[in-house]
Amino acid sequence: MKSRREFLHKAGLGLGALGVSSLALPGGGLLSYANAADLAAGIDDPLAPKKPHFPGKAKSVIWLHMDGAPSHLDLFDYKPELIRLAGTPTPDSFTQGIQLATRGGDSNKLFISKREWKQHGQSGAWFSDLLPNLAQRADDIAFIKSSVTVGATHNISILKLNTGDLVPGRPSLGAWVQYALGSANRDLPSYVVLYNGKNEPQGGSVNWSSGFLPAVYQGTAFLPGDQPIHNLSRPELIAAAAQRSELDLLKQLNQHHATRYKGDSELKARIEAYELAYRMQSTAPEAVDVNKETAATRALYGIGDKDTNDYGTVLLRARRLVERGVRFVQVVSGPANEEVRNWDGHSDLEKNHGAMARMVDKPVAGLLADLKSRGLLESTLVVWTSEFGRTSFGESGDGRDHNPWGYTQWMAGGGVKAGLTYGETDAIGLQVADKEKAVDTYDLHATVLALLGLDHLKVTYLNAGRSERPTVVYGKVVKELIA
Amino acid sequence: MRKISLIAGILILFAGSVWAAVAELDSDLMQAVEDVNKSMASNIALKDKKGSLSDATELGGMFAEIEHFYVSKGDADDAVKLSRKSRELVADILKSVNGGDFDHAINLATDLSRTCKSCHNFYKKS
Repeated sequence: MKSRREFLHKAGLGLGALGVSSLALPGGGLLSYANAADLAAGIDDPLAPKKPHFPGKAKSVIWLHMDGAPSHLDLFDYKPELIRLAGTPTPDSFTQGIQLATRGGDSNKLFISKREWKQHGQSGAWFSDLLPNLAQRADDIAFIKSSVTVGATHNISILKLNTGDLVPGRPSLGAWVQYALGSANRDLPSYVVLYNGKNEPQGGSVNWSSGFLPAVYQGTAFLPGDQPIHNLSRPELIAAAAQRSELDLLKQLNQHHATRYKGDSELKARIEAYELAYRMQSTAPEAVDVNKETAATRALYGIGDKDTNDYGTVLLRARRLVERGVRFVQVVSGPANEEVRNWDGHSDLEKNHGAMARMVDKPVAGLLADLKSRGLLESTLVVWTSEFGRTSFGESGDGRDHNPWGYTQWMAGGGVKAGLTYGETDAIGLQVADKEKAVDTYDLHATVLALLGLDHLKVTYLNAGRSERPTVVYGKVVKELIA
Repeated sequence: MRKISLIAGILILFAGSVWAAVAELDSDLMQAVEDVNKSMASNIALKDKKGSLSDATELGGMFAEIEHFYVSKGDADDAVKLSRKSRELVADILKSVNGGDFDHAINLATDLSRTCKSCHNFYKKS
């Protein structure tokens, strides 16, 4: 360029040409050109659908994170010996090999809450009276009663649950699934995060981060409430064609920039995000609108009932999203009310778990029933998971402390062997009974990936010269859980 | 007399430091095991024979050191068993990598990592 005048002259002609072409060609002018530009710029499509390593029944995952860590001993893991010994000090034989955070006084006595226990379904699975609706779905569920993890604090353990590490920086499971399988519906984000309540889930967005994977694989958080996606509608003063022309120009400029910075995954993600946002204008409002469902379906999820409305709405949205091809929906449970923020019942467990169980019981049962009735349960893997469980001994007199040494998670749908219980805890529900059957978070991830048709050892990404995989250096598929 | 006292004092100090070393496994060594293990897993995934063999050989030496520590310490049968199992797994990894069977090697490497975790359940200080 010889001068500023020459630059402005040439740029002006260029912009004018863009404007003319958008008028000349229906549908926005530069769309077909943009595809060619993609090829010319060497920008591959990170979200193109990819085949799994082997046929997997599951096509989508609904990851139900019960934030705060519910007590398996008050929901799923019936322990008559704990009931018999309640009020007495924890025998030393049960605490061998573990380091306890709670010490001394009443806090070390074995504790039970006011639960009634019954077996349900043909599987005979045990449920407490806190989950009457979910108990009716007993035969859809495969329990993992030998879950283990590292349980220092919630944020760290939540990070490990979602990403496999105790420090931020690794991709979440949802990001790996997107990376491995691509998108099944380009008009919606392939990885969505949902939650109820006003605040973002504790631990924050590192729990749905793409980590060292390209940024395009990070989760997209939809807000709770009636408007889950802000600024979705095109402003009235801007015509559709004008908006499309603006976006086309922006894309062209970004792609030109990208040819100079081929390794910049954030730029690629931004290009994709603008295009996805454009498409979502027409697809997203319908996808998240639960008012399009029948009254009977909304009632199934507890929508309209103050205890279950918000969480039920979130789960119904999750069903609608997987119905539309969203691969991974990460649902984080929020507060039950102003006083009960999550499942973390260090004290007054009765009140805490009473409220939280009321919030989730009907909606989760409704989700399973709804997926089944629509023929979606076979292809949708539902996972009930938490950062750890709770101790057999009490805390603060009427609560329970964190327990990473043995707790319960479960899976349903997606090719899981329904009705099975894998592993168990000891007689008082404190540690896994057989360490060979311990299922760590890496093993859970490996099993989820296997149900999706993915070998966790072959889902690899080269990061700074090192081959990385979702399960870090661990991970064992629990084959018994696969039908 | 002074010379004897000095020598005795030095010997006592030396014995003390040896005792301290025996009482605790070197955390730098454990960190090195973790780092080399991750490197080995990566090299196996990349089918890098040279890198895999180098890491596996290094790991074998470190697990031998760990086994020796627990044998000397006494009353640590689980740890001795786990470190011996780790050495055996490393030997199997070396065999697999030498034979070009990286798929089998990565499975063995994963078993090795799980063995590390089992031992940490008993012996890692939190």
